[in-house]
Formats: sequence, structure tokens, C-alpha cells
Amino acid sequence: MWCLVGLLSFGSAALSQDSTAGSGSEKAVAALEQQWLQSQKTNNPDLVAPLLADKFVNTARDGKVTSKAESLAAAKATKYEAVAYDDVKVTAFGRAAIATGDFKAKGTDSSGKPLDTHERFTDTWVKMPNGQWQCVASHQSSIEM
Amino acid sequence: MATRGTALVVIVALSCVALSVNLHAQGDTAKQIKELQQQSRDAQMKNDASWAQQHLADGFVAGNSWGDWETKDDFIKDLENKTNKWKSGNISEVQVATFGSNTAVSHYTFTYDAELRGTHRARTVICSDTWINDSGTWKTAATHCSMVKGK
Repeated sequence: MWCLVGLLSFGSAALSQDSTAGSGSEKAVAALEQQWLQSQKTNNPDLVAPLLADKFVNTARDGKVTSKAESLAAAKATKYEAVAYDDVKVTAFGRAAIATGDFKAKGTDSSGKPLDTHERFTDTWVKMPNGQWQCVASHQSSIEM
Repeated sequence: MATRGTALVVIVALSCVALSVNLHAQGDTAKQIKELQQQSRDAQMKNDASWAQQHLADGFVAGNSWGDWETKDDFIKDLENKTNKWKSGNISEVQVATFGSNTAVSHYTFTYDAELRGTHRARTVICSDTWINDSGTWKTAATHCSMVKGK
């Protein structure tokens, strides 16, 4: 009986935590997006590395799909002169959150070619069992002029 | 000593059962998402807004391959727009990654030929969809596609 009561209490607490997490989760993820921006502004991929889940997958505007290790290697080889995010919005869905926004950047890409891009991005964040939010997928597309 | 040994065997056995159940659940989720992914595209081909009403989460956002954002309402309006016509559409290479019991991300290729908002688009796109389990129903929270080839 006590076991049942305990389980019901635990379930109720977990549900209430989920339903009240909304704005706090959105603020937490928005702050992590700013940390990602900072890593690009300072050309320091070490700032973004802990934000990416081990199973992270990036899909670039040209459809190229890369893993966490490949994405970090590309970030290391990319040199930004100017980077800006605009219109960043975060929506939380329990232990997942979606961040969308505009991305503008100038510099040199990972292959050494000049970079001048304007893209839209969708990032999928998941609250991991240790309580940390990590990005599990990022997808970008070019804006047609 | 025998009691400790028995306890250890029981713990290992329970861990194996838990691991097996977890792997089975992940497999089931991936299979379910793959089926829903196909249903989603079938509904899109038929301009079936009712499927989208049921399976798009409130707060859903779509980033399409020409750089526009669409909300759930925009997406449903597009489905209801009779001037949008799909000639063909095929999804392939669907891969699903699960994160806990309530979140999954699918990656897939979508090749289509359609007249959308007065523009003819025949292209292959690569997409990422985020799925969330909303009280037992899997819903799409976001989709984003980028063009690989075509116009």
C-alpha cells in the first residue's frame, strides 16, 4: 500500500515538475543559444562542445549531415569575422525544447573559402537525465532571395 | 555468502531485463515514428488537414527549404489551400534517434514535385523532424528541410 502511495506521489511530483518547467526551460535554452553564439563570435568551439549531445547530428544548408565530432572539427576550422542571431524563439515541450532563429555570418569557412551567409536554423534540445540541456540536432536552410 | 551471491544474480538479471525492455521500447518508438513519418507525408500528398490537426503539437514550427517559417495554423492553411497540388512525393532513408521515452528526432530525404503557393517546386530535400510524446500520442514539434538538389 505504502509502495503504491509512494509511486503515486512520485508520479504526481514528476508531472507537476514537467508542467511548470515551461518558462524556466525556455530561458535556460535561450541562454545556451547565447553561449553557442559566443563560441562563434570568439571562434572558440570549446564553449559549444559541452552543449552538444553525443548523438548530436547537424544538417547544413546544403544538406550535408555531420556528427558531433565532425561538427566540432568544422567549427574549429571556421573563422568568423562577424556573427549574429536574430529573432531567436524557444518553445519547451516537457523535457524537449525547440529553438529557432536567423543566423548571419561572415568570415572563412572550414575549407578556407569566403563565407557570407544568411540562414534559418532549428535546434532541438533535450533535458538529459543529469538535468543538463543538450542540443541533439541542428538544421539550417538558406533564405531564398 | 550464498545470500550475497543470490542477490548479485538477481540484480544482474533485473538489470538485463531492464536493459532489454529499454532497448525494445527504443526499437518500438523508432518503428512507430517511421510509420508516422510516412503517414505524415501521405497526408500531405492528399492535402489531409485532419492528420496535421491531430499530429502537430501546439507550438509546432516548420522551416521549409526556401527559408520560410510556418506555424501550425499556416501549415494547416497550406494543406487546405486547393491551389497547392502534389504530383509526387517520396520519403526515403528515414533514421530515428530516441532521447528518453518522450522525444525522438527523425532524419530523412524527401523528393517531391508540387505546385506550392503558385510556384512549381521539384526538388530533393533533407529534413529533420522532432517528435514529442504528448500523453501517449506522438506529435511533431518541429520540422526543418534544406534543399539538396532541384529547383
